[in-house]
Amino acid sequence: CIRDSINAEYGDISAKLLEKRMGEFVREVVATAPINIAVIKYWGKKDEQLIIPLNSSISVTLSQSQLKTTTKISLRKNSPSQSVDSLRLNDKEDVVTKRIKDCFQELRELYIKQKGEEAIHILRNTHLVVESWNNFPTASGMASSASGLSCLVFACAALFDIQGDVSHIARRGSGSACRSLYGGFVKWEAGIDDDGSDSRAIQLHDQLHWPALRILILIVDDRKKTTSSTSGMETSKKTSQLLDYRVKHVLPQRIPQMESAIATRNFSAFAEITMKDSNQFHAICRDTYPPIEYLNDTSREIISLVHRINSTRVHPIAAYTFDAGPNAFIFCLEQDQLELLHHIQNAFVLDEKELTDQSSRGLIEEAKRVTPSWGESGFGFGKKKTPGEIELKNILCCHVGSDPILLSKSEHHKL
Amino acid sequence: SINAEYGDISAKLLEKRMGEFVREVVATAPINIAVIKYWGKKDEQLIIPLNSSISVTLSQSQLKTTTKISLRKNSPSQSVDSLRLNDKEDVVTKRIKDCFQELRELYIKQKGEEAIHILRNTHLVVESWNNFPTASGMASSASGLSCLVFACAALFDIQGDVSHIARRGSGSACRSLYGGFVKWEAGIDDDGSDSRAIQLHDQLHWPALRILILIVDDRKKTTSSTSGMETSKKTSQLLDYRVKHVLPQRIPQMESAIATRNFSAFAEITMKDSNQFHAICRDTYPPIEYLNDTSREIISLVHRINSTRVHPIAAYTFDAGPNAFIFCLEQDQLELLHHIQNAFVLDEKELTDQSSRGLIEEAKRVTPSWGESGFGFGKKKDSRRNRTQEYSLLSCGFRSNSTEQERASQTLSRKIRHNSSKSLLFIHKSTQLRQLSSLQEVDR
Repeated sequence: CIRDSINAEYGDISAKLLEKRMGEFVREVVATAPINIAVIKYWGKKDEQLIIPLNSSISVTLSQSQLKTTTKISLRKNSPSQSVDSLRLNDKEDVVTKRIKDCFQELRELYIKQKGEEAIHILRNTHLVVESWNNFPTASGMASSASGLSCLVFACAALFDIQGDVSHIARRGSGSACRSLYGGFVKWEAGIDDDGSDSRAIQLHDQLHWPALRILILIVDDRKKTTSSTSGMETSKKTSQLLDYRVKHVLPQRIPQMESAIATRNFSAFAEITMKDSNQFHAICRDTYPPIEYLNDTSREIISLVHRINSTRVHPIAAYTFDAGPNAFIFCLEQDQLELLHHIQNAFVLDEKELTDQSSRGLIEEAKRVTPSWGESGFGFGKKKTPGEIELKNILCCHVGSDPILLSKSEHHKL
Repeated sequence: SINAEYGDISAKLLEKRMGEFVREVVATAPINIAVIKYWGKKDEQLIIPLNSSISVTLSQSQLKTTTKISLRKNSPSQSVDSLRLNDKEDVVTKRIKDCFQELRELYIKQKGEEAIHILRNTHLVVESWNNFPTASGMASSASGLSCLVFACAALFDIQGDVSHIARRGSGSACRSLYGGFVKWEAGIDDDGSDSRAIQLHDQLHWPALRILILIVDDRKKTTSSTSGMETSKKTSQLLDYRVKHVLPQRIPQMESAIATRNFSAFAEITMKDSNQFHAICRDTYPPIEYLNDTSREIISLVHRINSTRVHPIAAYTFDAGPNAFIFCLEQDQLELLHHIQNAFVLDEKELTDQSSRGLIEEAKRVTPSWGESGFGFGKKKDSRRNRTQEYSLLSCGFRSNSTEQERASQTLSRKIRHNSSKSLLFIHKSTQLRQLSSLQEVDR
């Protein structure tokens, strides 16, 4: 319904442009940005302040039709009562954290660097007002920092008319956010400079590179509060001896293998590396002291199901990966999507009331009627399911998505 | 029922159910819990491990295997070694055959002609019972195999350490041949002859140490250790690093912590090694998961409790299953039990061990020093979730409380040779057995 209200709102841009609710409006941008899912994980910083990672990471950007952040950012004229940057998230006042301040700072500096006097003049007399909305509920456990921060930086860069890559700035807000600045397949190069200026995201391939690739997100019911990524990876770096080995010996081979698998659209190789890297990330979490557990029993059963399904084929047809939470991201090719959905529904109890996305719902319904080629009964878990016990809150069927999108940009020539 | 049975030894000895009885031994053996884990073999056939491991032997009053092994005269219908487990016919696996083979060879080596003569005309009949249900997920291979080897060695009157033979049956079984704190030296010989268990300290070394076993309800079938560690060795790159770089420091640290009875250090290393073991399992492909949500919550609870103190007072470790082994000192046992009961739903009907039940009851009345409410999980416990969090709890006092057992072991210490006198192993009513068995031999 938030999506609908935004669509209704932006159907009439002129009305918005004249809005003077928060002080005199100078310039405004509305943009949307996607989430991304890492297939080679980022975990552990070389520099906590600048957010320079221990290793490079690779991610897949997801389609915005199911999951995105929408941000409206405007430059507003300073007044005695209003001169400080402000932020609203999901219609509630939110804290402008130090990280966001760092981002604003860097964006302003870049604006001045590129536009000189004009920029100085505008920035002296204005402040930023940001409003952001996620179309996925926070309770779903979907990490919104990547889409949120990347949207903020993208929109602000558009507001300032900044040219060139700004991923190093998004990185200052939240490491993985820099990867959401590009669609398709993205690599966040760790970089070697101490100031992090070469720690940026680059697009390996755009979203048209692998049209058959699909991502099913299984949102797992979990009431437990999870460890924040920031503190978690810091503790891992301090206490896990295995992390260092991963960075120095495992990833230097694995990263080129992944790039090659994506480049050649080799799903077999892609699947195996993806699953191994997800497992190793969660292994490092366990080797941390105190140990960090992001996966729960349902996550483990999803892992088990995928391996079972894959063992009936010559090559793997599904690959799981988990971030810092129990939700599963299952990669597959379009030709196997319905069968997978069929088996997933057989193995897990799905809360059908919660299915919010129409296209996903359609696929889920269609999958029920599919006759699986591998045999119906093979993938149950041999245990009775307690009636009423919900294991999956939602299933979202996504494909590879595009860059952030600039929805509108408007100017009021008052200043 | 076993106690009732062995109350009257003579009746048993004259039993001729399976062929003419020659000689018989009854023994019990404990389980052990590794604090530095064994995971991965250098040699699959000989069961030589990639690294040394260290374990704590648990008191037999709660958990043990009892084995009755007899030499019986060969007959046309009966001449093959046989095995019964928990009153059911069981397969004599290749590993058990290897153990019997090695024991026979050692018997011949030590007793020469006499041994050859006896072995030519007899076969072994083994009956074994575990006093803990298989469904509880407690690994019985360590106690089972060690009991078999120990009893058979006693049957053949073999002198010296036989842990390398128990190792051939099941790696961790060699550690159950000694009480107290045991190290299974990985060894360097290719034939595994130096891959043996040694006792670091006997069970009197750390009298205040306690082990609480939380048996977690888990219907899921778990991966066998044998196949699991083989897959880990093949697919986990982190395992090699553990063996080469982590353990060479960690093992001496653990030995030192045990030697100095330093619970702080012991706790931290124990928890870290358990975590690393399960991390390696997760880094395996396909990944192995032995812990479930309840296991994770136990881990979480222990860390929470420890964070309220200057030094850790509890340490968890998990083997290849979801059951938690919690170490603590006697002074903290009741408080820990109190907090555990607050955090988890316990199936009180299943509490089988009397002394544990007594402690659990007592713990309910304890006023904790750290505050009542701090260790819940802040979530509602649904009635439907109760079933998945049921567990039964055994409290293993490290020092046996049973006076009967102490008396028995004192009486027998003269009769039992070498290392077994320092362990928790003992032979039930061995004096009578020996007398009767020698009678039988005279008769023949």
